[in-house]
Amino acid sequence: MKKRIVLCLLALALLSVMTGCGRKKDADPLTVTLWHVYGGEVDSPLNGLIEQFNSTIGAEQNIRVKVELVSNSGSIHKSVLAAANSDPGAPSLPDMFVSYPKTVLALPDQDMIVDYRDYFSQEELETFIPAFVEEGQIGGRQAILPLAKSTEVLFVNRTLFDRWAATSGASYDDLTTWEGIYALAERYAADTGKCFLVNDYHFNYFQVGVESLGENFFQNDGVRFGPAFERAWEPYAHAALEGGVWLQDGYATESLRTGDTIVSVASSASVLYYSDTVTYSDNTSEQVTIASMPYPVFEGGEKLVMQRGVGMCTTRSTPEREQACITFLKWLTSPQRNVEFVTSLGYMPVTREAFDTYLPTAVEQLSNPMYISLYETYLQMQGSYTFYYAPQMENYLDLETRFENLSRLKLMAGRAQFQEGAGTSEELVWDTLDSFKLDYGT
Amino acid sequence: MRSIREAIQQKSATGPSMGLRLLLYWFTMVLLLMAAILSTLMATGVLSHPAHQLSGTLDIQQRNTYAALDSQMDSLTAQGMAMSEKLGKELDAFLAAKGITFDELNNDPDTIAELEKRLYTPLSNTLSAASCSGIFFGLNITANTSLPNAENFRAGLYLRYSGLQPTVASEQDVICFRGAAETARSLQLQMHNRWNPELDAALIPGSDRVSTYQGSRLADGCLWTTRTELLDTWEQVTLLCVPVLDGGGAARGFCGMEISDLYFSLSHSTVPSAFGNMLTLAAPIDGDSLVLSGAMLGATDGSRLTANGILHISDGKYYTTYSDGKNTYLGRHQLLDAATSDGIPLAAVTLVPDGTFRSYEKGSQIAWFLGAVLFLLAMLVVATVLSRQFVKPINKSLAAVRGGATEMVASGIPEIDELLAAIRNRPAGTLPPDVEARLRGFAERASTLTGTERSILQYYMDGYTVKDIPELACISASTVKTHNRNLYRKLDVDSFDELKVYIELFASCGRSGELLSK
Repeated sequence: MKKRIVLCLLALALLSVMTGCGRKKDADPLTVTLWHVYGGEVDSPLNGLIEQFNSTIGAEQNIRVKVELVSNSGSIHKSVLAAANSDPGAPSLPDMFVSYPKTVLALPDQDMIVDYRDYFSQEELETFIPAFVEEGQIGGRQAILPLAKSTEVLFVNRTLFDRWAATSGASYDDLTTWEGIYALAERYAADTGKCFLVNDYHFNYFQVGVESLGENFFQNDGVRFGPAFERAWEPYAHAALEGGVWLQDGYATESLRTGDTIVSVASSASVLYYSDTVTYSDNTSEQVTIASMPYPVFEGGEKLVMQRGVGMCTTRSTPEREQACITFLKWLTSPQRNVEFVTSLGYMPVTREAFDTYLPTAVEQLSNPMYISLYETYLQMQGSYTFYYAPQMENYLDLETRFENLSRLKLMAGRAQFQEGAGTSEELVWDTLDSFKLDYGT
Repeated sequence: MRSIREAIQQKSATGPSMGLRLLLYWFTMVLLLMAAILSTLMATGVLSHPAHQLSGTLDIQQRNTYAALDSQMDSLTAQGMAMSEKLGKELDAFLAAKGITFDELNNDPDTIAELEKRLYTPLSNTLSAASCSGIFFGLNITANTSLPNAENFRAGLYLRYSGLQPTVASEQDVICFRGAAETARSLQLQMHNRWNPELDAALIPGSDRVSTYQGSRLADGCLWTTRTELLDTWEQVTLLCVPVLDGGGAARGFCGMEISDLYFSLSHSTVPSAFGNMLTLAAPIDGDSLVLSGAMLGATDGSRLTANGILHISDGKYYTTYSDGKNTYLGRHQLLDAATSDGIPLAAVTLVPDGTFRSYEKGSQIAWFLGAVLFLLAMLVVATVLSRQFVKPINKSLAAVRGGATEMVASGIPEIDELLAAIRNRPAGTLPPDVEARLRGFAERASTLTGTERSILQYYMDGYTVKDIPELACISASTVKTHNRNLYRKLDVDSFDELKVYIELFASCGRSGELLSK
């Protein structure tokens, strides 16, 4: 009798458990949120891939990835820190967010994010390109998972450059060195009254430039203003004072879009944002060709270029939520999918297999000339450049932000002085540097 | 013999024991109590049907959804009209200061840029105060009338929040989506990656009607566009268009606000409920179809709802069902008082995924079933224990009587004790006459038994059964059968049970000795 009662109770418990399982699968998908940078204001290829995931693997496993924010890395950095510190009005941390090491280093608690070694086996992590994985190791933890990597390249509006070159004799060879570029910038400004060059990352220009000339850019927690720094400053400031360098705030794409500049140095990933149309103030437009070239170097300097590209952090939550995020990330970094993802955005894949097996085929199938040119540049740089990545410093972001703002402001002020005849460009180059060093500190 | 059989039948017909009766009594009481509790719960609504509960919850949430959307659209329309009036006045003042007519702005990019800078302030101020993701105005002028499709170009400004995120609006960066480059730079506005200097009216449904509005009441000229793709971006937006009139009442363009899908989604979170997350939508209702492809969706956490396709609407007793054949939602909708560019009315909609509701329903049923089963089992145990406790002293008392105890063992129940006392005190030999006669007849027949048969009878009187006899009497089973047959024949009984009844009767009357006396 007792046995029968126990059996009945067990049967009832089993029934309830089984119906409980069924409920979870039929409805109520586990929604995990994501903040990313892949697309920004324009069409986001990642969002399309996420829809693909949601309708296939996600549907099977009852997971739904929801994009809550598509912005730039700086904005996401700010939002993540606000959320992590529970600032007034701040949103909750998403389940996944893109991040540079500087964001993770600035978090109030490193345990807020998942150590990917808890979810990826050693063999799985070894399928990634070692340098990319190493960049995401912070405090002995695999805090950031690489998804896509980029670097910095030179973009040139070939249509407008060729038009000017026809009369000026400028050559594409001049665009391979900084010295050549600044010389052209001064000539272009003199000929047209417009800026020639826009550089998205002045801080990176100096950092990589100084390092390529054999000196350390950083000293303790600040910047070292050594001879190599002065060598990088001199032609850059001279061209800026002469009006050949765009100093206003905003991304390089803006001034190329309006024809106010014709050459830019920017992240390779910004190819998504370049338009093949230039629109002038009278509302007329012109179709142009934007091409990529390897990152310029200093004469006699090492061929060094910044390795860029955020990775993905996963916020600590519940094992179910974390597992859902990992399922998505493993899907996204599987070699074939990763190549599909990166080639739609102008990035480099992150696994060896993706690089060796799938990327060459994918590049052959590209049809957009801007992307074809970019991947040709990638392959060219892959063989001849050393990739440099920024050191992990807690105050890196502060150093970078202040440098960007102050260098532009000092040179804009210097340009105004030059236009007013307050000094020659040769004099103002060093005046502006002294002023910059004074305000920036060392 | 017939009377004996009747007596036996009567004994059999006495029904279940007192313990069993008590058990049934207690159990019936429990069932009655359960019925009373259930009736009370049903009457008070605690235990109402899940569909009925959902209906009540949907009613409340739908009122909130409607109020929120109606208020948002109403506020935006009011702010849009106020902005339109400011733009109209500024435009008049600008033209007067420049000494030019409105049409003379055509083909004059510099003056247009100057005008845009002047109109930026009312635009920016309204953006800061309004619940929207972008704001714009487009005037019926263009910087270059000689261009193809120039008739669609509208010089103006279109400002949007960049990298919209779930945080307060004051922290959002504003970027210039449309407007002269010179304007954006002088206002230090970052330019959108898909910037263009002018708005294309052909891409804003209904804007042509608004920008040529002939009436005098701005409220009558306002339109909400259908959800439309923002050119070259990944975003879908719904726009409010308000006519811009000059001092003379002539339409000079349009202005308005943008609600992007992302903004709407961030503004309308899901509302958790026992039936699943409740979702908010502002959706066109075309006949019996909810047009998802034209809808703005609030947060959709916990559902598979996307802004694609249509949902067929079918009314029900407790809720309205919305289904595309694959996914089904339950909810309510109510038309909003807003003019739309395509004439299809917009509705405030509250939805709950059917799957989560069915899970709740099933879970509720299982919980009640399990609860009821466990309750009944528990009550059965309680009833058994109580019944045993009640019957235990009575049985003890009866056993004492049967055992011939000299002292009466009290049961603790006065009525039972009185009955036992009455039986005990009854004078001997006061059995009913017919029973007395039967007993006497049986005793006489017993005297005819042989010695062996008498020994076997003695075993039966001692409580042994038929199968015990071969061993006790050292005879074979077939011999026992023969003796039994003779025993039954001589005593005139048909079965062992009948024989036992006689034995018990003699024992209870203290007359067992008569059976063995010769």
